[in-house]
Parts: sequence; structure tokens; C-alpha cells
Amino acid sequence: MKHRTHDRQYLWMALVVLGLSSAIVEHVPGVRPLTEAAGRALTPVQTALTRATARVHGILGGSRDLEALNAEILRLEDENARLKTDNLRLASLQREVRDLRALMDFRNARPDLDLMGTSIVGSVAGWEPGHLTRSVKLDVGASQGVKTRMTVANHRGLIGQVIRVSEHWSDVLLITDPTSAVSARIDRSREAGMVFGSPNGDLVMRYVPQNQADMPPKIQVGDLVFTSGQSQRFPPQILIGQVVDVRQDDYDTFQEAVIRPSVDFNALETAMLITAWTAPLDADAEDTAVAPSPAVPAAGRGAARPTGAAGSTDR
Amino acid sequence: MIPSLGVESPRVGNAAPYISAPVLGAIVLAQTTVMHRAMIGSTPPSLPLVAVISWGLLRGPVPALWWAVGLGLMLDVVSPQPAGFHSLPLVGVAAVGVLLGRRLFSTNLLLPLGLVAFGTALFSLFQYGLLAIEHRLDWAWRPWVDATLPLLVLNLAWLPAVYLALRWLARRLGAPAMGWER
Repeated sequence: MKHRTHDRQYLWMALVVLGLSSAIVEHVPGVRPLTEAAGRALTPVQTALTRATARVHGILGGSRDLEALNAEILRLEDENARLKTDNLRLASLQREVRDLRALMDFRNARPDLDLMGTSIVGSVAGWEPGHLTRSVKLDVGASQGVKTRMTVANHRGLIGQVIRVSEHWSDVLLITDPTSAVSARIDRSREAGMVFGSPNGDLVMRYVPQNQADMPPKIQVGDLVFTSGQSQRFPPQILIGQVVDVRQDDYDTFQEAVIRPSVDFNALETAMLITAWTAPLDADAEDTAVAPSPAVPAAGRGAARPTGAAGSTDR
Repeated sequence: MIPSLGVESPRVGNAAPYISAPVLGAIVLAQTTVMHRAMIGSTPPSLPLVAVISWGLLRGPVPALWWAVGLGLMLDVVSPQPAGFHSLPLVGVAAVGVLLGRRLFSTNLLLPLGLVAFGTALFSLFQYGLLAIEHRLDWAWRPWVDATLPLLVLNLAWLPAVYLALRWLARRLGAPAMGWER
């Protein structure tokens, strides 16, 4: 028992002496190189350990914050989705504003046309279900003043004609429908003809007389084709499209041309109904947008009037 | 009384009207709205046609005929074309296409594809014929081919989705019930 007490005393004394000597040893000449060598050997190990500890700490700390981080991610994802939706809505609004501005320009450029705005958007509008015939459903009808045979156009050009009207919607026969026919004029040569739709969606201009020798061609690729205005059915000078191909046969009396429509019918969203217009006095021809509906009579053959009033003749 | 396996009751074989009507309505709605976002050129796929053919394969010719009548009438209502412009070709395809086509392409893995190709050509021919007879069109092969080829491609592309969806529906409805000879 006594031995153990002595041992403890010696141990404490040894520790105190060691502590004092370690404090002094720094100042003892010749010992410094030894401490530096030890430091050099230990530093890398310390660094590695410190880094490893930091990593472990980070992982442990991260796991503690995981829940908070997940919540933050969810919040940011929600915000991101909302911003994306807002962005899409803004893009849609921007497009709508652009279209409406273009329509407004068109309205200002054509004071002779009495235009009524409408829109073909999303669920309120339908398309012809068939693959051979082409029509669209507008979200305006008789309650908004729509009548059959009204001309439908937008800032890009001619779209078609109203063939069926209900209280709140109306059907428009597109000019690309195979049953549609529009009297037209080539802008450059002032030659007249008829523009027909076709089952494959092409527009074909027929009944253009053959070219004469030593005369400029009556129709050529690149020519712009407008409505002729020689009828009660469509107002004059509305762009139909551009000639992309001319077909000529020497034995034929007439030549014909393929027209690329100026309106992109696949991306049709807005349209304007022309309720009335001032027709030219020399009107002598008749457009025939032959309507399949029995409610719409065949094109009349009466003389043209100075003022067109679409939809007024078949009531 | 002996159950007759060959006779399918129009009501149950075709699924009850309260189930069929919403499905047919949804098909017509999709055809007049969504399908115009999936066009080749200016030709949209014909979802009703693919649905009629698929239903014919799944349930037999009689239910296909019922669907053709229902879909055709609905399409005639929404379309400004004369009555019968959609229903007649659809019924024609269901009658001729499914009955005759089943024999032509029977026991063949390509049965649905063959039937859709055959049915599409027949359907387009019917509609073009109606247009030509009704008024206004001079018959010409070129425009018909130009309009039918994209339709064919699109219908074939839509067939797997429509067929699988209707197969799921057919399984939910259970096997066609047997009729009873009177």
C-alpha cells in the first residue's frame, strides 16, 4: 500500500518535471531542429486528419440539415415551376399582343372593311374532323352578329367564309377546302382567275389565259395573288398567297398555278370577320365558296352592288 | 336455353351506352382539337377510324359497327359537312374493313397494321367518292393519294396507343357477354 503511494508521488513529480522541461526545451539550443523535424513529419498526418474530421463533421452536419435542405429544394422547385408557367403565359400573351397589333394595323390599313374581331383559341374552337375537307369553328356566333357568308381574314390574308352559324359559334369553310372557290387577281399582271382548294390542302389558281407571244407572262412563280373584288362574296385586295408553281400545256386554253397560302392554317389562332365592305363598281364576277350545308344557298347570280354586306343576301 | 357463343348482344358486346358514350365523345373531342397538333402537312390523323378498327379487333365486327355509327353521328354533328359525310364511310369501313379485313389478315401478327392500312384507304376512298358525287370534285388520283398517304402514316403511328388504350378498356369491361337464343 505504501509502495503504491510512493509510486504515485514519483509519477506526479515526473510529470511536473517533464512539463517544466518541455517549456524550457524550446529555448535550449540544439533542440529546435528536433522539434522542426517532428513537426514536418506530423503536419501531413495532421492535415489529413483535420480534413477527414471536417468531412465527417460536414456529413454529420449535412444529415442534420437534410430535412431543411429538402424543404428548400421543394420550395425552389415550386418557385421554378411557377416562374416557368408565368414565362409561358407571358410568351403566350406576347404572341397574342403581337397578333392583335397586326390585326389592328390591318384594320387601320383597310378602312373600307368593317371588321369584327374574334379569336380561335384552344378549347373554344374546333377543327374539321376529316382529312379531305377543311373548316374551323369560331367562338362567335349569331349573338355576336355573325351571319353566313361573311368573309373571314386576318392580317396575313384570306381565311375563308362563314358557312354555318349557331347562337354562340360559327363554322368557317377555309379557302383550302376542296369545295372552295375564290375569284382572284394576280397583282403584277392584273390577270384574273379562280383559286380553288384541293383535297391535299393545296391552292390552285385556274382559268388564267395562256401567255401571248412577245408579251410578259401572265403568271409566274413569285407573283402575289389577291382577291379580285369582283363579287359580293369576298372583298377586294385581300392577299390569298404566292405562286410557287405554274403548269402550262400548249393544248389547253388556260394555264394554272399552285398557290402557297399566305395564312398558316395549321397555326390559326385569330381571325377577323368582315361584316361589310365597299365593293368596286365594275364588279362582274362571282366567287363561289360552295357551301355544303343546305342552310347556305348556292352563290347568287345577281348584279354586284356598290356596297357589300356579307351575310345579308341569304337571309 | 343454350348460350350461343357466336351471338353478341349489342348492349354488352359493345359496352353499355353509358360507358361508350363518354369514350366516343372524348374521341370526337380529341379529333376536333388535339389531333390538329399532330398533322403531316394539312392532314390530321383519324382517331375515330383507328378506334373503330381497334374496337373491331378487340370486340368483333358488331361492336365496331355500333361504334362506327356512334362516332359517325357525333362527327356529323360537329362537322359542317352534309349529314352522313363521316358516318357512312366509318360504317362502311367497319362493315367491309373489319369483316373482310379479318379474313384477309387473319392469324397474322400484322393484323392491326394491315387492317388500319386497308381501312384508311377504304375510308378515304369513301369520303372522296362522297365529295365527288355530291358536287363538286372531279375525280383525280393524285390529290387523293396526296391526302391519303399522310393519313395512312399517321393512323399507323397512332394505332399502338389507341389499341392499347382500348384493350385496357376492353379488359376493364370484361369479356363480351353471351347472348341468348330466343
